[in-house]
Amino acid sequence: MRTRDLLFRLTVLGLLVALLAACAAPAAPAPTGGEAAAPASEEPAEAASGGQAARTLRIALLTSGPINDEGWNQTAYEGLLALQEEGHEIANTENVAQADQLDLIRSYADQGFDVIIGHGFEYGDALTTASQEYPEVKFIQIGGIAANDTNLVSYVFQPGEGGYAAGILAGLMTRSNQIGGVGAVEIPTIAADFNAYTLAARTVNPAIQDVPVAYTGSWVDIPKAKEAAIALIDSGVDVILADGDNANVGAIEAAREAGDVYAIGWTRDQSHLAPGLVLTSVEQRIDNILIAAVNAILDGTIQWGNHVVGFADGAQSLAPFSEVVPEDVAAEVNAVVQALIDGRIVLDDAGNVVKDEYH
Amino acid sequence: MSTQVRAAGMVRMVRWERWLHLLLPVLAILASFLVGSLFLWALGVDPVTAYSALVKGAFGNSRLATTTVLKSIPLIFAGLAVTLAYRGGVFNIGAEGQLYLGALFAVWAGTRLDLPFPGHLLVALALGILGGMIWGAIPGYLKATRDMNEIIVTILMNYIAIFTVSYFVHGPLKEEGWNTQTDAVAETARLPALWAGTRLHYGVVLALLCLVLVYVLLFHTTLGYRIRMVGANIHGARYAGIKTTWIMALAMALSGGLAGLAGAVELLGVQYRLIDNFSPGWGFDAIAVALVGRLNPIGVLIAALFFGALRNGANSMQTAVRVDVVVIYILQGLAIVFLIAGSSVDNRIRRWLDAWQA
Amino acid sequence: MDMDAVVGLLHATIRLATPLLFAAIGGLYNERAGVINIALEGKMLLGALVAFMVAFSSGSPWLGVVAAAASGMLVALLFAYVTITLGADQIVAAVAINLMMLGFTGVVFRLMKAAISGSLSAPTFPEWAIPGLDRIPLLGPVLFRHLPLVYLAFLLVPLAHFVFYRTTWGLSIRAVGEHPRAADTLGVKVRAVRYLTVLWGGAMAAVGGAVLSIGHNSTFIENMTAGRGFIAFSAIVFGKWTPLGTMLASLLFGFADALQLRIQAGILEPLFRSLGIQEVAYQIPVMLPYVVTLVALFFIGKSHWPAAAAIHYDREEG
Repeated sequence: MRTRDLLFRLTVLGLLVALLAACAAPAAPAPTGGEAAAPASEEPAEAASGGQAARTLRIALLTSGPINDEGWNQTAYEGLLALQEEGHEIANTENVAQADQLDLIRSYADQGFDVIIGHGFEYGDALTTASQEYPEVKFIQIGGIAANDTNLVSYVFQPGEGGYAAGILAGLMTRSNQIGGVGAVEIPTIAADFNAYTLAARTVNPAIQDVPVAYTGSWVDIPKAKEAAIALIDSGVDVILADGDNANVGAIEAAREAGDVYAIGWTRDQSHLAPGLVLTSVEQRIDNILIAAVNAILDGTIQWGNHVVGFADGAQSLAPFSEVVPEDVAAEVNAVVQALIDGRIVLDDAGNVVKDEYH
Repeated sequence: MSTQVRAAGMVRMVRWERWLHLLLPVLAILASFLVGSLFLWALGVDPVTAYSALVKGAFGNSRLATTTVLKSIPLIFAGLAVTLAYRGGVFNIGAEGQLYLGALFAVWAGTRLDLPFPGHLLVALALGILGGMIWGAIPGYLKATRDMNEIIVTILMNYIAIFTVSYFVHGPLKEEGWNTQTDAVAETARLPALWAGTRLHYGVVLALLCLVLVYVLLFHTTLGYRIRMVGANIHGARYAGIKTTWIMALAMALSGGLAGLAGAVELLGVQYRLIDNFSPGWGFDAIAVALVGRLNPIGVLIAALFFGALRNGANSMQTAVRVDVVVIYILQGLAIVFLIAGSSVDNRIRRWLDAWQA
Repeated sequence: MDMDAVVGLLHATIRLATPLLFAAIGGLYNERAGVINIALEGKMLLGALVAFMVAFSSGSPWLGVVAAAASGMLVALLFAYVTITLGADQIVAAVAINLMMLGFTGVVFRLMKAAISGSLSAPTFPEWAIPGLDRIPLLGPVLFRHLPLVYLAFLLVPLAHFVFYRTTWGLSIRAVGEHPRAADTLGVKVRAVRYLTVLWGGAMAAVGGAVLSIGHNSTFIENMTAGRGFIAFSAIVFGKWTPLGTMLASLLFGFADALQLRIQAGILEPLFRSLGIQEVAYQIPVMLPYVVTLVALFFIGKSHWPAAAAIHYDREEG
């Protein structure tokens, strides 16, 4: 009987703790999850029927990853929320499997959505097909080049620009003359950014030689990204460009723990992850892109086609510099960004410098 | 009690048992929906709206219904793959990796070869089978010769497959430009649509064909008999002179081939390009499909359609009630738990009945 | 390679092995009792979340670990009920639990994130350097400068060895895994043993998850375990169902992972250059731990499952 008794007690204990755990945190937020979300999406619709009905659109966003990934997908979702602020009705689906893209797009189109956004190059085929099936619906793709000239517009970030600016900063801030990078998955745009990062750093700091980049192979494996950053730090690297969405959380944490290693964030301002040590973050302002695109759709001024966007279009920007960045360094980085905007520095799609009238 | 009355009672009992056999899975699904409802309700979502959106999304009109079938095709192939191996006493957790390899081989054929229509398609499909078969034969061979456990080998090989595919998608097979994807397979290598205007392709015919083949193989051939004997009683099989290790290896290779076909058919019929995250976990869902389908080809078909409907309906449900997409995993998991629990209860009841009748 | 690099590599090996070791050494108990558990993944993920939530709201990482263990037991109870009492297939039950945990942790984490504005950073454990021992050259910094949870994980290894081979408890567990009917005849409560070992395994897997969220990191994200539960499961088989073997398997995997990250960080750059290799695709080092494990498994040869592994035991069955 003793084992049964013990089993019983363990069970009760487990239940109690689980109850406690359940009450501790989620009890309070539970109402906000469902109820707050529903009225929030209806409000603008009502406001619209009051006055400016014509200017309100129903907009849906599809992302392949979760919208809380501290990176690529989260910025898109925040852009969508910005559209909600503008009075539009929004909806989104996350973690969209490749095989489900077209079904979801059709589902939104059938529900009467006016604008459907596919966030990533991987939506190219599905958006192309859907744009032919639903000529009255407008489609936006971010991160690809699949546009047509009637109802599908694509925006892609000029690869390398952000990496180039980050490289100038890293080259000027490193004390060991060793810089590196942590990424999740090596996709061509990220590879181009790391390439430009290397070239820029060497331009301002010829003592820099190899610039190692460690990839984890997973967008969600924070612990491994942290270990990757530690591996870099162990080899003497003291500035790390983190370009891997969620992986950045781990990489920047490694910098914070080391205490004297700097990190540069990506896609959004990540200074909160290691105050003081995140020199800046290369922000991808998907909110700006989406607002501009939707307004242009409303005005009828939209240019259907592929757009390569970057610093010049306000699609990319640098977050405020950390206080450890000296003023002259900050000014130099800003000057390089200006040179990229003016076309005095021009990069190709692989992040190579094809023209440099600045340095 | 006269024998006559007793016999009549037995007949009634047998009928009742058959009904129960059919009823239990339905009850299990309803029970899982009920528990899921509680969960949805706790999240502030109206369960009735949510589930009606799910059902409507799966079967609401003919296009949605064909999409449900479309979603179940990879699950049919992969579910048959797991079934075949399991019947031979081998647990194939590697269907995921095998279908990735199948898709890789198929996309190579589809983008790098230049052949006329039916030939090109057949070569791509055959290579898809070959890719999966190689990936399945390795753990099978290692089990036969080195007694290496297939579960751990297939788990490890899943990772290796996914990174290998990633290497080819990022490297040798990558299309020109910024996108990390392969070229689209040539028109000549694509599975044609069954009817113009729908996305339902000839893969569904192929799936049904495989279903019949697996059924015939398992239950109407000597090889199938041997496979089942090894799975049911390995010592007995060995005693009967069957080369058990090689039967297991063969079952594993055939299983890999089927899983490879799952990848190839999805690639040549739906996605056309290979990309990281090509599969949303069909290889793992297939384990549930096979066991919920009670390791029977017909059961696999029903289970695959059920999970295909769940997956397809979930898309609509998610857009209709704005519930987090991760909720779907919970509903799917609940359905599996209740279905397997239901089938255990079913077995037990049947045993009681047997005891009673004896 | 200089001394610091070696220390860094070996220290990372131990760090990376720890979450695996918790899950594997805990899972070893139920595996030896004949319950195959690939639901370690789901339990780790839940443990990572619960530990993070409780540590975040209470301020105590220890409380987080305790809560994680309890939550792991709760899920283990569900698993045990479905497989041991109802006799459902252990692997498919585990597949279902992994799916459910992926969804459940995602939903709860989102609710938490929606409710709390500001930084979601949980308190973590301080490093405990063991006075005196940490001064030993090489060994000191590698072995004796870790989080308390790391020592705990490695202490569980001799404990498991002791329990399995020196106590009647251990005898019962092994008997249940090898020959449940005989064990039953001798008065061992087969189901009770299986239940208890599954609960213990669940608790330890969850603590392994806690190492990820509030041990070596201070945050949670969805699916952050990224397959470690499956690797832990492999470590048990690879370690031939012995505590020592399981530990060595976990360490080998940790070592391969630590090494591949350092290869990417450039330690082999001179070698590659002398061989004329310009660039190595990152997928190759990332794959390394899995390939190394597979190759090691090949040479290590036979490993026999407990005879009654994955087989449902029912007294009434013939």
